[in-house]
Amino acid sequence: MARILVIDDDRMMRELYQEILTRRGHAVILAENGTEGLAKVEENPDLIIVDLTMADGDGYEFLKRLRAIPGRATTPVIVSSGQLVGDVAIAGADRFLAKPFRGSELIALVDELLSSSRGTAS
Amino acid sequence: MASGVTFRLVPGLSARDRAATLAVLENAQWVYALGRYPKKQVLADEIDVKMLRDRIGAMRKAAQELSPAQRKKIDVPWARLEDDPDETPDMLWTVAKKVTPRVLAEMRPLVSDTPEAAFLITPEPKTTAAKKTPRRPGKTKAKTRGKIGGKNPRHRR
Repeated sequence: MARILVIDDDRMMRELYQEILTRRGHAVILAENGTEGLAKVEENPDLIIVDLTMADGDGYEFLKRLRAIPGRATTPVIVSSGQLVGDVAIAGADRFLAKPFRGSELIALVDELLSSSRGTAS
Repeated sequence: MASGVTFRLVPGLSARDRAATLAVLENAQWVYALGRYPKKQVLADEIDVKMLRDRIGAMRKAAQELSPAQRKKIDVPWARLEDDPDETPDMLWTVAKKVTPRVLAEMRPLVSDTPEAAFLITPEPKTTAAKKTPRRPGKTKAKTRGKIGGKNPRHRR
């Protein structure tokens, strides 16, 4: 089980992430925007999922500020968006999840990132 | 210098209809995306069925925000989008396959002048299956082309 922080300004999306991830046995921390997300980074998530193109556009800002936090430079991050985004590496993320997606696609990405980060940590 | 991106201005859509149209489309693209996977696979997955139900519900809700005049202008089978408390997964699938591509095709051009629309899914045009010509019995060609030891000259010594 992992602790996963989800940042998305769409209520339906947050509910969807929660449903998928809790069924998988993960603990989910929800945030509606980048500022709230940064505050919840204190809860020590193992993985972060952030909507890059939220209405206030602060998904990019969240990533930039997250990477500047000591000890958070390598926390796995999945960015999600319904729009085409540029180089994910530049944005500071590990993976990109295009909306719309299926639950199984999200689970596969989360499993992959969690197992590789655990592999790196051990 | 001006940017190369241009948006075609579509007149005649009130702010309320525009917002409702975008909301319908945003939800419709999730339904459409799920409808492109095999039916069995989607309907066997609880999460996918829930996603289908939620997004169709949101599509319906947004469609109700459209003015009656605007609904009349669009060639969408609205009756098939009516809420049904006894809706089965099969019925959801019918909405995904029969109604949603029509919704996208009809409504997407209405908001083509908004930046949000640039990233919406465009439904693939229906392709009609090529007619198979029936084989004449008893006249099958020997399939030797390209086979080692066949009649391919490249394999001759």
